[in-house]
Amino acid sequence: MIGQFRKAVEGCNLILGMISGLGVLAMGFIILYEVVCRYLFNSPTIWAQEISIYLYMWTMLAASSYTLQMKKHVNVDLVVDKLSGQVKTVMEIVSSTIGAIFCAIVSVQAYEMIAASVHFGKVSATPLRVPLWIPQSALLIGFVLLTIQFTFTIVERVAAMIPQKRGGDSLL
Amino acid sequence: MINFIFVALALLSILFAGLPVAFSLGATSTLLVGLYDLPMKIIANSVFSSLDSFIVVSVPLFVLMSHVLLSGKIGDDLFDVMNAWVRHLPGGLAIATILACAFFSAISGSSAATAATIGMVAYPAMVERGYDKKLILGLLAAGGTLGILIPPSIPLIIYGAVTEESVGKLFVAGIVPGLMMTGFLIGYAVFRCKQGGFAPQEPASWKERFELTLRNIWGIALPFLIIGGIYTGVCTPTEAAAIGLVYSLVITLVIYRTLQLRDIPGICLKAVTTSCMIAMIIGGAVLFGRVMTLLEIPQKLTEFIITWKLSAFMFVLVMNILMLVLGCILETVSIILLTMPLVAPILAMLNIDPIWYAIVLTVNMEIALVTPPVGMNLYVISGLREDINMGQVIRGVFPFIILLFMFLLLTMLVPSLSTWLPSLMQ
Repeated sequence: MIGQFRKAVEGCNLILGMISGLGVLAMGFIILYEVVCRYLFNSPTIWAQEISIYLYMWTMLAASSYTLQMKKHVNVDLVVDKLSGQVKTVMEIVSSTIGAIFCAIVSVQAYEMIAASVHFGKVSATPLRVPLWIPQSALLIGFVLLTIQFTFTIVERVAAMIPQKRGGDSLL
Repeated sequence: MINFIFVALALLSILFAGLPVAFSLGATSTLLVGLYDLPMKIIANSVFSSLDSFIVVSVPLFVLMSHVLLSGKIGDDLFDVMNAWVRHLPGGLAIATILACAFFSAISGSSAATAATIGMVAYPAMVERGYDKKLILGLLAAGGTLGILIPPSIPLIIYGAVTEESVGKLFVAGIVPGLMMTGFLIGYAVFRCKQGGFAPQEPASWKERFELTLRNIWGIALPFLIIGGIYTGVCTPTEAAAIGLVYSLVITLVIYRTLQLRDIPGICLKAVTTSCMIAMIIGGAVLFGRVMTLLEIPQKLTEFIITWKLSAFMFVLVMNILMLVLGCILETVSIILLTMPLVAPILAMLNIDPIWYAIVLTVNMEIALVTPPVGMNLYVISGLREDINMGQVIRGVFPFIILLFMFLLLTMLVPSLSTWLPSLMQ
């Protein structure tokens, strides 16, 4: 059950990572288009810079849980690497718990932010007048996925610490 | 001061527990928000607003660009070109290696990418010609550090984003020191090779040189395109990154055909994790900076430093020692993000040119990249091949650390090395 859920989330992470990767590519083309418009056609766009910032927000936040899953978020492993099995596992549980709590707090606040934006109909202070909930949703989705990813690590490490009973190892 | 020590301890213990830097900064800040009863809203707000900046958009673009060039084998070709020009000189291969490092630095913003790319081709070639293994390893690790000094440079983008200095000027400031450092490295390599009595190789014919250069002209032109665009003010650094990215796609996909369209999604995926890691650290650090400001720590620290009556030079010296220590624990981007909100007001107070400080800091970070235990380039180089071990790399890089220290001192003593070229820009 947890195994399936995990697979689903990791699949989701990968897909978001892929889309984010291509999103960065799209950002490059959008900004290039802006430069071309400015110099060749002498008519800068009003949207390119703003849209590329939104793309940046979305790509970076959406790829964050994939990055965590791939262990690409840089950390200080000076001490942790020196620890032995059991102590290391405990440390991983502690640090992942701290991470999960932080990400959960950001998720809740992101939700409140979006709710306020929708309620008051907030839009960006630019000619485009983009509803703010669009970029803000990236924060919610990114941090919810991060919370889930951290929680997986906790569950996995805790399960590893409990002596394996026969037949009980299908948990993960 | 008690606050400051408490904050530092809380952060360090979470960091050492192994939580990624980005989330350690975030979690420490959240803890402080709770303890000091600061407005809760700033947590998500700061993370969100940290992403709302056009200058940091250049980071994923530069990262993707260097991944494209890396996968498209442009670095290998650069080495061949340099080799054809200098291989008959004493220590020719070593010179070619450093020149290739310098060139690749000018199309990539990271040291690890530079060391890995050039190391892959240069190491086997040099071993084959009987170069001292330790010298090669040290050379590659140190040559790779040029990546963050010679523009484009991810650490300098981050520095510009936190201090609101012009990233264009910071990039330009890195050119003269970067070229000088290249010269220093070449000088040392030649000196060592002369002692070793290497038989120089046959010179390449002029025909071969021009043919190789011409064949690789597209890759060679890229740094001039990027730096030139920024220097003349034709485009912003972010726009230059976009132009460079599309340009590198065109040369690898269409002109040299070293990549195929179906390779692109995989390359993008690989690149996005690096950019995302940086973006998240920025988020955590902006939140951390906001919390520190609310606790008035930068102001108090500034007042405290002022009471010491340090001269500008002494302050920079003290900072350098502190940075060297931090460099043993953290990587470059985190160090800049963590310290600059504290240091920037002091720089202003002591009338220290932030552009000069940026270059001194970058050279200092170059040292961090090659000092054990966490010097990134040491790991990159020792991971190049099975037969390389960490001990060899560390022994090999030792003389280069001394060289880098001398260079750090030079950039500190002669600020005009860093400030002259940017002062010519409007």
